[in-house]
Amino acid sequence: MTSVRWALALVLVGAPGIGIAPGMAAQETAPLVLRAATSVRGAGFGRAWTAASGPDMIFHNPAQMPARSGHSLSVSRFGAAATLGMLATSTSAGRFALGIGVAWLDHGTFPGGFPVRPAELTVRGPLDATSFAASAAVATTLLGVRAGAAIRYAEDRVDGERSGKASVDIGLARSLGRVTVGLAAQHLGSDISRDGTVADQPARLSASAMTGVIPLGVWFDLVLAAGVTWEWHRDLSPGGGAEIAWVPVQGWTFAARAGVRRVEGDGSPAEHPLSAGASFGVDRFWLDYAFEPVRGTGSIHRVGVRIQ
Amino acid sequence: MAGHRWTRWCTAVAGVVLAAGCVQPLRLARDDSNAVLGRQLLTAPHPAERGPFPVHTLFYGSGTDRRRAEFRDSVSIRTGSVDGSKLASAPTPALGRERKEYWGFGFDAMPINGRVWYPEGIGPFPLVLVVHGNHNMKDFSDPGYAYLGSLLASRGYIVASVDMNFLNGNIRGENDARGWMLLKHLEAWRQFADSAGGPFHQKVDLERIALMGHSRGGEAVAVAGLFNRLTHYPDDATLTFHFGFGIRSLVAIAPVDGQYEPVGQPTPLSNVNYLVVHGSHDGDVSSFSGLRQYERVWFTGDGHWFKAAVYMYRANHGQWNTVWGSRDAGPRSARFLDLRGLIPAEEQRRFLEVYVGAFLDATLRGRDEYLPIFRDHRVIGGWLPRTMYLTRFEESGFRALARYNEDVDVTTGAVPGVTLRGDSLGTWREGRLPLRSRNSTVGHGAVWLGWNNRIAGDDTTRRGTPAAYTFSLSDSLRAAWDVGPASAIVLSLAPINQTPPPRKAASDSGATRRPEAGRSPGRRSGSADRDTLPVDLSVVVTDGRGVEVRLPLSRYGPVRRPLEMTVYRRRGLDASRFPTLYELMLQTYVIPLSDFVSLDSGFDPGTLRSLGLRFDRAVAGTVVVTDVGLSRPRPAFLSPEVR
Repeated sequence: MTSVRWALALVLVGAPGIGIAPGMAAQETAPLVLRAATSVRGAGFGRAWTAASGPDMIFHNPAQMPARSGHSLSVSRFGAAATLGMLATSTSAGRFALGIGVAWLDHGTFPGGFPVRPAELTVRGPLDATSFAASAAVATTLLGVRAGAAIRYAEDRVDGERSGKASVDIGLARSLGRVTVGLAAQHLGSDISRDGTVADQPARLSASAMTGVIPLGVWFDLVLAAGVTWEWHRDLSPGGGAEIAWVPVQGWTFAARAGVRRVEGDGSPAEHPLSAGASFGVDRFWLDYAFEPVRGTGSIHRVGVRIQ
Repeated sequence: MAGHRWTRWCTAVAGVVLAAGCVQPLRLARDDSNAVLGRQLLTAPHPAERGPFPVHTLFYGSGTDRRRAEFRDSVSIRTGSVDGSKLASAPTPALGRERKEYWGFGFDAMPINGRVWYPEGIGPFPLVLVVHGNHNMKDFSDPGYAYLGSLLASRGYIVASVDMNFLNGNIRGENDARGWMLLKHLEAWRQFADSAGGPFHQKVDLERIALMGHSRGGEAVAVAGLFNRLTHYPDDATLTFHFGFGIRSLVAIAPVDGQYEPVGQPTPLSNVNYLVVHGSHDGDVSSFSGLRQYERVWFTGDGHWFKAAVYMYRANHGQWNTVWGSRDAGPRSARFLDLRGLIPAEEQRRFLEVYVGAFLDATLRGRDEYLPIFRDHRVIGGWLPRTMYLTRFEESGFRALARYNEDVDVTTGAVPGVTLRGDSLGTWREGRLPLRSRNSTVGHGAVWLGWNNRIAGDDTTRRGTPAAYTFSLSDSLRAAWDVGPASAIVLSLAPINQTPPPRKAASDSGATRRPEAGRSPGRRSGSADRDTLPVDLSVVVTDGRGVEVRLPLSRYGPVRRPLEMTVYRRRGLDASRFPTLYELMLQTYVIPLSDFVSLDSGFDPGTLRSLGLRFDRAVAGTVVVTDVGLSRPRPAFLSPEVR
């Protein structure tokens, strides 16, 4: 029950800020793919995801890449207007976990629309555009603390014109009893310019806590997560989620989850604070789904497969 | 809206079907217990009924226990601690610190704690120590045998359930420590018996001691039995032993085996009565590992000893202990294990009460009237819970003709003067008896004998002479063993679901044609064929004048095909984890030579020339056989007989 108390405490701390923030004229950042890419399962947890584990943690907290073979592949559709593909894989090399990940976003933008807000991906503009990121990461355990680092190259390309930069991520994680806490600093790199417009990379600092499996009787498991993210040019964004899993027999899992986070209140379309998801797993193989409504136009559907 | 509703229904149905599809149906062998256990032939007092003694309880221990009030506030006899650091250690220093923080002591200061049930009376009473096995160390296991303690105390035994919870949890290879701790408890009992004014002064019979252990504790009793006769710890001779207690009997309940091997060798035992029981649906120790120790109990000299193994169908690992219960794989066992097939816990424990009560009465109190139980469990059909049992048995009068461990010559036996011969067999090979767990064996040999009396060809009614497997004895061996009317043939056998292909006509000059006898002909071909027909065969003896007499094997015990089961809940998991869906548990048959005389008075057991198996009661099949020999069992073993 300690883990439950931990998670609840975190949720309560962040709860006052969850929801839709008052209108903010925040400056946008680029490349776009770094803001749009998220783990399918993490999307259903209100993106409180730096303490989770899996090969796709290369996009959230490199410290939490597992030191064993794992793969994840996902596709996200932003209304009928944009498609995001993500691929990540991890393996072990002695005491180290190694991982690579790529994300590729196809969308359409409007003239002068750089940088693009992620919520606007549900509306396709006339100019074909892509956004791409490739990462490599390493993680290990030092004095009981998992530590990881990732280096990444990311770019936006509109009408064949590229603008990209490298960045690094640094992450830490530690298990405290049945709760794991994670801290990650991401997208630390110089700014990007296009057609004279300069945009910072979406540097962000995230901290979250996630419980291990909390047994609910014989057949159900509960996992709670809560965290807070501060992104460059944005307000603090708390979030959290809960997942309940039904395990009718060991190795088969049916899970449903819901998350909430603080999102920006201005613009249309705009992100929605609520999200939901589901998973089906057989042993190492998992099929994940996440749904994120968008205020204004469309919604986001994410589907992924994991082998871990 | 109709479309959405339909989609939702489809999704829900798909989910339910998917979930149901991952769980396998309950699979149990056809129960024949109504027939096998249909009669109560033994007229002795029921060994699981409470005896005449009023029962008292007390605790002995450190008096300082941090976790258990009974060993802190309620101890009637204070005991010291023992240094077991040469025998047990935590896997990592951090875990060692964690354990010490929880218990308040390390392996160098283990307490001698026990909960005692004892009879009111002047004694001296036999002493029985019972020890639990590995389990969550914070879910204390030692109270779980109160049902046995109370029962046995009422029947005149002092019973102590020994606390070894501090050896539980995340450590391995500590079964030497568990065995040694049992002996340290006996040292404490020696003091209790000598302490004038104490509750056990001169009430403990230290020459009549039984050790009983469950799971890892089941291996520990064998280790204790070994250490009891050694002067030094085999793996570190700087630790000396001064035990030498009168341990006459060991009971192993669903034991592990080989987690401790003295100087890298399996634990040997000799001249001790040994009873081992195991459940088919054990979700923890998934093979009958105790059979390995059973085969390593040897009898030498003239003493009266015996060993018995009982396999109980539908019994699990934890229900022998009331604390553990049905959760062999932890609190959420129902996810892993198919619990639907388990026998009710009360019945499982009732079986143990019957067998342990009878075993202790027979071996510690000389109550010979219980000995037939171990020869043929069918004599106590009225006492046993209705399920299926397979039993092994051997007493110290047994002389082996073949144990199939001796050499690679399939025609030689265990001793000079024995010749083995096969006739018209489709399968004749020797090998190691497998255990259900993959790549695991009993560590003991056996012979596989397959036959198919059908002659190959379109005419499915053609039969050859029945296949046979024969042991010939030399005159000198027969004389040395003093074979006579009081002797008995002893063998262990199990049919398996394999059938050799029909014989080739050319190789069988004795082919005959005969009508179908209400039984289908031999199976088509191939050893993988699954045969479900009942199996029986004849035991044949021939004397020096050529008089031959046959008796059906089934008269001396059930002849069952392997008892299949699925232990896991998940579909296909048993098949993927284990080579077979059954444990190859053999049944021991004891066949007095006097029974052959009763059938044909012309037969002279004193001139026994050969004995063997004749496969004339089933057209085809395969059996696994081991430990074939002759014995002169005490008459008490042989009566009553099941007719």
